[in-house]
Amino acid sequence: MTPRTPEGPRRRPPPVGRRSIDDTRALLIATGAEMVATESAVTVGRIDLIDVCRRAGLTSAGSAYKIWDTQEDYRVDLLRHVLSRFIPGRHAIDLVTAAVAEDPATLPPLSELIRTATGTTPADGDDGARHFSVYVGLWLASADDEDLARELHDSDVAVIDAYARLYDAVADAYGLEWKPPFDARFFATMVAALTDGLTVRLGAHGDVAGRTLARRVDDGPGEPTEWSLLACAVDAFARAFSRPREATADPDALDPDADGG
Amino acid sequence: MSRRRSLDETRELLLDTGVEILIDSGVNVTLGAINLMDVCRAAGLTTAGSAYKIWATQEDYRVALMRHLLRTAVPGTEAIELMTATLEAPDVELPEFTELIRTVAAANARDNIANQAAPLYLALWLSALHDPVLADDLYTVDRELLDAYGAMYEALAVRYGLEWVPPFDGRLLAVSLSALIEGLDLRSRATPSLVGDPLVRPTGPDGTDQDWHLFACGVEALVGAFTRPRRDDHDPAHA
Repeated sequence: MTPRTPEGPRRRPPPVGRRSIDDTRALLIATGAEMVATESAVTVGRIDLIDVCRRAGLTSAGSAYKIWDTQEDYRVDLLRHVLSRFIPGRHAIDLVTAAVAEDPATLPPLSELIRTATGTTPADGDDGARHFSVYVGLWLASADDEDLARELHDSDVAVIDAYARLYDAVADAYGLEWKPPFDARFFATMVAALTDGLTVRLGAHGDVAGRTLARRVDDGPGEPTEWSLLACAVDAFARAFSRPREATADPDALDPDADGG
Repeated sequence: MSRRRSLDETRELLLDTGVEILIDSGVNVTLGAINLMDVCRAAGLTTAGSAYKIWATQEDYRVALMRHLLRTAVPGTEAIELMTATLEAPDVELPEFTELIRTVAAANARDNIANQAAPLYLALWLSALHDPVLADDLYTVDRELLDAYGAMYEALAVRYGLEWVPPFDGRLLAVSLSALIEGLDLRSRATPSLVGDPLVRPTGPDGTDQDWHLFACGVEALVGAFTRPRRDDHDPAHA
């Protein structure tokens, strides 16, 4: 799922002939992304193109400056690359989209869908947390950097909109509507914020936010199931911010927790 | 300078200067990259000699700065403990529960935004990914903070006739709310429009409109899911 390989960007063999501009671009972007992800002192806003060239094994920065006029141009390109690699919760989107596309009769209870689709982090594993830290680092850095803030804003609006469409589809499939003044975008923003906050802690210390909880939905009978704290919170949001759609023909579809136990 | 600075004064000076540098440069200078010589220069010291009487290495300074930063960036547990004591005092009058959430959560979110050092707390968590020593220190401080908040939420639940729905407790609520406020804060700092204006909800007396901060809506949802009216409680106000 995560495009970066565990051992980092592929080291290329020493150049025999001349590298094409495209190859050089790919090499320098991959090297920069690796430096940002693994070195705490290197951020997208501060990365030095000369350092990147050195790390990539180029003898001079000449070819880099054929691609980017300025170091700033390189940083913007690198930022876009980092953002494009990090699509939060792609796994969850796939899972939920598939579930909602199924025959409504086979839909699991909403709580169960939330439980299974909401992992602990937007990207699983240590590498995910590290990747995510770059993403959060971008948010922090953007407070001082208008260009970065604009890029992030556009990227985040697109992600939130995509999630909002997904949540609207889920609400639809479950016969729910948003309780005014809430809407799918609000829901998406809250879930994204909570995910960010939990993942930041999780990366450093799993047991603060990452332990699984044995929970009986609605405190009902039967064996408890394993829940992440994030999934519990998303479930809480779903219950608080939506309600059964009024005037629905199928009364069974009204109750999201009809068979939640 | 009329007199020599004491080592304690130098220590405070260099720690405060370090925090200022981090705030001024955002997280573009991360804790891992901060340089003690630069700090001495920014603090107006002509040499780093006295700094090295306090910290044997730059690494020691970095650890001290991190601890100092934690104290600056996060509220001390004293304020939370005071709040807990207030909740436990039976003669203190409290607003209706929803109103308490609406007003206190909004104030919390505003304070967080006003605290310039708050983003540095998140930055510390990120630095901790690369730094096990920092991760341990951060974990200790964070645990104390979450314990204090957890105890406050426990007191709040008692006061309002609520009990926890298993497996939740005050500490899990504290973790969730900290994560939520930090996540919202992160977004609103970069682009305030993402978190946006308060929502208007008809929660006032006789259904009048009231402003709700996003965080307050989240607190209400989480408290609603993590607690329920105490089963042996017959107070009609909480029925």
